[in-house]
This record gives sequence, structure tokens and C-alpha cells, in this order.
Amino acid sequence: MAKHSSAKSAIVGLGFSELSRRPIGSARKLAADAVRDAMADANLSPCDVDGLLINRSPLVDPASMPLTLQNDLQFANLRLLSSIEGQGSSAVQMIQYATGAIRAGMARTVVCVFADTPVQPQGGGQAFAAPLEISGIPGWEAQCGLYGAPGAYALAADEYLSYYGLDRDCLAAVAMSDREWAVRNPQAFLRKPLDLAQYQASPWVVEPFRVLDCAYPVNGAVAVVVTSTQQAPNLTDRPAYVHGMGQGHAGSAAQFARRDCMPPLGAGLAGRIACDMAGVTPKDISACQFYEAFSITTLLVLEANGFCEPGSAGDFVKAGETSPGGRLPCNTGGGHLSGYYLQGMTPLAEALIQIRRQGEERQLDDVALQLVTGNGGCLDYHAALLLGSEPRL
Amino acid sequence: MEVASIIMPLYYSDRSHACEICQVGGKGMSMDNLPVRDHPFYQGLHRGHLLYLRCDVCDRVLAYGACQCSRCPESTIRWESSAGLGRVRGRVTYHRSHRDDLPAPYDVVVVQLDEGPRLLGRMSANAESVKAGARVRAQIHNDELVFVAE
Repeated sequence: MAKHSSAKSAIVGLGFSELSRRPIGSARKLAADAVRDAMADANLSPCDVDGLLINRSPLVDPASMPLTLQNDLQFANLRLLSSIEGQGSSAVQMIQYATGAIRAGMARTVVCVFADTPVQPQGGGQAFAAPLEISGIPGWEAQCGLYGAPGAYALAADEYLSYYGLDRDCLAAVAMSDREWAVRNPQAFLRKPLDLAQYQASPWVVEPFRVLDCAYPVNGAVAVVVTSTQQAPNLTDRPAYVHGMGQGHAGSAAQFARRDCMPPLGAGLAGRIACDMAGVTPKDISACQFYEAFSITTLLVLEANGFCEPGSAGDFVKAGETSPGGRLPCNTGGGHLSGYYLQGMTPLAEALIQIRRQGEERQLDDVALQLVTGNGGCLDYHAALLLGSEPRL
Repeated sequence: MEVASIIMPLYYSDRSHACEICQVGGKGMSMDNLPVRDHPFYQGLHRGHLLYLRCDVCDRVLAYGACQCSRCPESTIRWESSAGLGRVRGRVTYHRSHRDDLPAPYDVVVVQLDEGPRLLGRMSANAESVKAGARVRAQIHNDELVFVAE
């Protein structure tokens, strides 16, 4: 590992609202709860904060997470205020833009927050399924019956498995690896041990996806505080240092012919840029926290980032390499599949918990360098972050 | 397990909320995802043709959705008629119906047309054995496109 890279910024506060499968208030209210918790965590008052970045689910009305959240929180004289929209890559993007603003001298202490309330009593209705636009032809997804994000990701999964001649147990392996971690995480929602037979008993959503291939949504909010590397040690004993940042938006995987059958994943580009910035290679990364709303994502992103050869990620996961005790622990809180789905904040929060050594039963020994990813659209919009426990690598 | 309430809240909000999404949501997530009948692709289907895009300058085949060629800055694009033959790249099966005129189970495929572009489509109901890698042919009937085994 290169020994000369200095961190670009540091994350010093982590806060949660209540996380629940019941209605527990509006996204705006939960966002405020999480921000207050994050500020308390970093011993900050509202007057210490001079930046606020807001991320809402791309599925909801922007008015549900307005810029006036600033006033709810009594933030005055902010130097940075914006709503960030990069779909599933937004949470990582918030840290990136906060870091840029801090290094450019625009702001010093930036709060980043995500909140969502997808689980409603009326939820589960059959009436609406927003088609994810992947065809390039207006309205064509609905014409074809390709409803919802699971369908679009399931197509990518079937193409990947078919091309390499892999069996669907590769997907099961991801769900089971996540669950092994979730069993050890009191904050995770699905904590009963999961074996292959139980996975295979899980109902189809869109074949080849079963229910257990899909994210487990909850209502809740997560907030973090980003500040300079100089300021960070004054606010917390265990800052999480940002060493590398990258984005990759390669264009729709569904529309373009693939080269070597890998979808033109911007994930690889995002990861390479982040590694170059940190002066490291994927071999230096000790653990990964992926945005994996569907099981297939973990396999594709492992390969796109160079951890596995194309077509071999399934074997890697089946061999237990991403599970507790494996060579490359992934989604160590249970991820989106078994932990909780709060979009990009799920992997980010878990990386921070690990760096703070608050992981209890699931605590990793080596938290020197973790990869945190975001993924939006149907494998379209990617962002990557390299977080370390030390200010220098 | 309670399939609906576990998975669907992600994609199916309550009705009152969903209407707002329709009006203000990002276009990629719009509920108002109805066919645009004056779009050349649908007009082609209406005339019995499966259309795809080429650059008018370099003749390169372009992805559906392109409004210009990536290499010819001054280019215009043109629609051409495909022979309708291609290869399945991925196939999924919906085990629950999302609307009355499309009963489950039904299959959606991504087909790479022989001319080059990848096209989303529905697989005909009696083509259960057709998997990724299989050759298929487009069939157009009453403005509707389905792929059948070749």
C-alpha cells in the first residue's frame, strides 16, 4: 500500500432516527431526528454546522425533503445547502461534494442526511409499479410488462448467469453471506440464520429473483457529519478518513452491447478513480460495503472493482470469502438484503460503525481501508468512497 | 413470507403519494410511463415494422434512446427497418400480474437484434424453452411486438 496518501476529509458524526417497519413519521421529521443524533455524536450545536446536503429517495416527491429542513434544524448562515440527486449513488456523492466544498474553503462542517418512508400501511398494493426506464423508448417498459426495479435488475442477473453458465445458487450465496453478518448485527432486521433450502423456499418476485434477493425496506433516516482532517480529532476519537472518491456513469447497461459480457459498469470506473486518488489498489482494500439493493449487484461490483475475475464472483461468495472470517468481508451489517434498506446510507453507516469499532459481534479486525459504493438506476450511476481509520495511508 | 409488504413498498407507494410522483418525479421513475404513440418506434410497429436507429453520416447503429451519434457531431439519426431477428441475452419471468391484460406468468426478454441494438421485448407465451442465447424472431400483430422462437 502506498504510504504517502493523506486523507481528504473526515466523517466525525453518525446519527440515526428510529428505524422501523411501521409508520413513524414523515421523512422530514426522521431526517431532523437523525441530524440531531449525528450532531450530538460529534458534540456539535446547530451553530457549529455551516453546510447541509439532503438526499431523498428518487421515488418520492421532492417536497417531502425540502431545503427548509435547514429551518427545522435551526441552521443559520449556512455556506452550503443543496439537495443531491444521483439516485442510489447520492449518499456517497454527498460525502464527495462535502469533501470538495471543505477542501475548497466553502464550508467547514457539513451535515449530510438521507431519509425515506417507503413502508406504509397501504403499501403492498398492486396498483403502482414504476417501470425503471431502461429501453430508451418512451413507455416501452410498461408495454413489455417490465414493472419495477426488480425486473430490470433481474434481466441483468439472468444475462450474467446465462453468459457464464452459472447457477442461481450464486445469488443465494450473496443473500446467505449478508444474512450471516445480519445475525451478528442487532440493528439488522432479518437476523434468523438462512440456509439454501430456506432461500429457495422464498417466493419469486421476478424470476430469477426471489424475495430474499431484494432489499428489505424500512422507514428511517441516517445523517453524518463531514469536516476537515485538521478539525476531526477535536470532535471524535475515531474519525473515518476519506482517502479516495470516484464516480462512474457509463451509460445504460441495458441499451449498449456489452464488451466481454460485463455490463459497462461505471462501478469499475468509480472504484479506479477512488483507488488512484488514495494511491492504492483493490488488493489494499480490507472490506467492502456495497449498495446492493439486489443480490446480483454484489457479484457484478466485486468483478467490476477487480476483486474477482469476470464470472467468478459467485464462487468467491460461495466459498465464504465475503462472509464472517472470509478474505474480503462484504456488507458486514447484513447489507440491504438482511440489514435494512436506507439506500446509500446503509453501506456508509456500516463502514463508519466498523471504523469506530462499534461492530460488536461483527467487528472486523482490519478497518484500515474500506470501499463504500453507491449504485443508482439499473447499474447506471455509481459512486465510490475509500474510508480509512487513519489520516495517512 | 409477506411478499407484498416486504418488497412492494419500494416501488408501490400508497395511491395518494403515487399521484404526486407521477407529476413531479424524475422521468426515469415516472409512473406516467405510457407509450408515446407519435414516437417513430410505435409508428413503425403500427405499420408492421420493427425500427432501429442509425447515424445518417457514418451509418453506425445506435442504441435506442440516442438522439445523436457519439462520433459524428453534426449527424442526424434515421430509423431503419430491422429484419426482426436476434438473440436473447436475458430473460425474466413475472409470477404475478401487474395489469389485467397481461396475466402472469409472462416473460420479458432483452434481445440483441442482428443489426446490433439491444431491445426489450415480451416473449410469446408458448416459448417456455427459450433461454438466453436462443435465436428469436420479432412478430408484430395489431401494433404489438412479441418475440417467438426462431
